[in-house]
Amino acid sequence: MGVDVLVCGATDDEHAAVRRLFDEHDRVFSRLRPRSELNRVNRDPSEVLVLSPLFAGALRTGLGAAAATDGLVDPTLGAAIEAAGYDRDFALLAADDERPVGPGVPGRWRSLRLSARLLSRPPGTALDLNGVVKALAVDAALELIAGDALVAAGGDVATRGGAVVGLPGGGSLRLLAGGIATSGTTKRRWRRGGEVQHHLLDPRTGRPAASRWDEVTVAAGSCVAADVAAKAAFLLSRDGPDWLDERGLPGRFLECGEVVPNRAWSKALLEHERAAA
Amino acid sequence: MTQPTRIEAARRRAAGAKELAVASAAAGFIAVLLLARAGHPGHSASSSPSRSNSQSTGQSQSESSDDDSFDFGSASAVPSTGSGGTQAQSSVS
Repeated sequence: MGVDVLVCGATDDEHAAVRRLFDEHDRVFSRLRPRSELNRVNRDPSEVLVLSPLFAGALRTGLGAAAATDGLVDPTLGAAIEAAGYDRDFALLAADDERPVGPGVPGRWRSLRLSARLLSRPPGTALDLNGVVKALAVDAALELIAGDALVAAGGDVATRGGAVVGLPGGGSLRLLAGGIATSGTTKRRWRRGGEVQHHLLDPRTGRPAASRWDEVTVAAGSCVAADVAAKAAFLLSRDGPDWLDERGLPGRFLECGEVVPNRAWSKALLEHERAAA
Repeated sequence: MTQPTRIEAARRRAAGAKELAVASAAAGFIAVLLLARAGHPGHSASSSPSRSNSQSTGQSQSESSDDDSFDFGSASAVPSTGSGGTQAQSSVS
């Protein structure tokens, strides 16, 4: 997946199982491996096709995330991310690509039908499950470990039993159970056709998202839940804090270096801190 | 007027049964066609799937289930006391 994976609390066998799990996720979901299942599905001209169990499970989570966020997290942005120019390993992207940006390709998750492992989709719909796959792999890896443990991959964290997690912009918290994830546009940026591009797309436009926030960090019941909520809150811009509060999710927003917690974050962490002092 | 023979009467009954069978097959074909059209994503009367906006597991879900619900759950977190070093860093990747 092109990210470092940290595993704490695992036996040697569990560690090996976690390694196999991440390798399998990379083989199945990579946009950059021509023979990945993701690319085979996207190349397949059939309107109806059978998916592997792993792929179907991830797509089901992606569709559930789309429904829960009213489409702010969308598994059908494969064409949009390529139109923005992210069509090869990030390290190989030209910092300033002079080619013009392709047209925006809005998400169309509502046009998908998934029944067990049978997918029906309109011709030309390109999937990209990388919005949920890394966090799903973190959650699945934690499930492979019997005792208290920590799994972190590329900034997405899940733990059972407690871990101290550093936060963007400084500070830390002790996550006893659940997941924490950060979304934003401070990394994976490039220029194409004179415009700044980044990997976080707005499914409503099919273009790189615009938000008042630089980064949003969310804690939730699982890593994938935190990741999905962080993306949605980022895309909602000024409405992001309230959207998280309505769901009881603690969120921490970074704007030009300033930390802005939502009410749930203040209640769960800051008031606790004051009481302890 | 002569009475139809038993063979002619049998032929008429067979012809009637044949017409009925053809009509039934045509009606069935049209019904299947309409159902298929209604069920196709691009032609569905309502393009919005009947997925619940309510919460879901958020966990990796079984492919054998058609339940697309998604649960944000809730984390258990407390301020770090500073007694232990940072074990992981949450960040944009």
